[in-house]
Amino acid sequence: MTTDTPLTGNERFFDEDEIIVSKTDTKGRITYANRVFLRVAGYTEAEVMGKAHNIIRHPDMPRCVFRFLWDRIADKHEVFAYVVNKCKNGDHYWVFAHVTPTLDHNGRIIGYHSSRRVPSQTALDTVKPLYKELLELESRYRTPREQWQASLPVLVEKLESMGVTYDELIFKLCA
Amino acid sequence: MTTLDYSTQAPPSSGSDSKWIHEATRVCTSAAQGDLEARILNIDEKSEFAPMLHAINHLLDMTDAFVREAGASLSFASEGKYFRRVLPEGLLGTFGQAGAIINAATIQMGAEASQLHEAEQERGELINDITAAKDVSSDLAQSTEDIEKMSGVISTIAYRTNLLALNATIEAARVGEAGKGFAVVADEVKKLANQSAEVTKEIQTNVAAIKVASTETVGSIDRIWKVLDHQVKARDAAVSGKALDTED
Repeated sequence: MTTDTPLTGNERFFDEDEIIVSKTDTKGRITYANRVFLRVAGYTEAEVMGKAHNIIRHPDMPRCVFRFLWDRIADKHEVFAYVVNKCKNGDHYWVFAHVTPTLDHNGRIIGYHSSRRVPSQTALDTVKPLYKELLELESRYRTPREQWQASLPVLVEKLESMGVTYDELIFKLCA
Repeated sequence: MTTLDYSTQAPPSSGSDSKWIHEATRVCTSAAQGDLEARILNIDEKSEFAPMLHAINHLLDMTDAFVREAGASLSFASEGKYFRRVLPEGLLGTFGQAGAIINAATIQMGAEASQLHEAEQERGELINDITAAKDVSSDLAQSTEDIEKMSGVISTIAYRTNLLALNATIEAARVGEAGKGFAVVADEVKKLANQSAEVTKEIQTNVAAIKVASTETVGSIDRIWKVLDHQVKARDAAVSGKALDTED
């Protein structure tokens, strides 16, 4: 579902007081996008509604990061990630994403909610080289599955060598 | 109680303005009932209501963000994880202030939890020391008993030695002049036996004093140990959310 629009290399920014909000159904199809989302990503509401959320997937994002997140969110955990997204015109923007499952009265997942905030510079300084390394590793494999299977252990090992859990690292970086 | 349930009213068939008013009412009513999921979609930018409808969505987004942040931070804290802060970015005004209050509270909880943890460790060490002291004092009580037994044996030996010395004196007297030297030796033996008996008595007096002291020591240590044990159990019960008296 990712768009083929060539990347421009131009980075977009949004205000520190703003939150990009989107909601999806359980299949990841967009059911709501707030005005900040539409403005920054450069889409109209009609263009994104019902589309898969990876319409904004940027090729610089390692697959293992998403894999790691989805494994956790399936366990009904909230998840955080530093993510670079792609705009409709090929620009990009970095976010500090917080994804939570939306549960019904019986505790079943009925959709996902994502709030994205301006990431801290400290976080980006740590995350960018890490993603580059993971992406480089993934580029040696052909299928998406082979790619994340190769890079996920490296990500987990990195966290272990830092002696922190993923959540602790995230909160250290955003402080 | 009569409540107006706007959400079940059918949208009026004519006029897009009425449609937007109905949408706004539906979403606000759901939100008031605690459903922060509903949003107004496909807003007609040409409608004069568009800014109001966007404002309603924005209000819901902000409220939803705050509720998710506060809930996440506090549910982590309730699991003993205090690093999960309410993210202040994007939470304006009162939302931000309430978030800051929650963060101050979780920081405080974290600090107290780590102090408690340290105190727990110290108490653990104290319990180890007390347990060791308990062992030492019961060893001491055992040694005192042994000394008491041995001094009893010594006292018997002294008594019998004294008798032997007496007999030796009598025998020495019977042989007359030839036994004089032997009588001197017997007398010396008797003196030694008497000395032994006296020293043994002193030992027994001291041992009795040690016994009283060590019984008191064992009693005190036992009481301290029981207090600590009770504290540890009370603390465990508090942590697991159970009262002490519901344990059995």
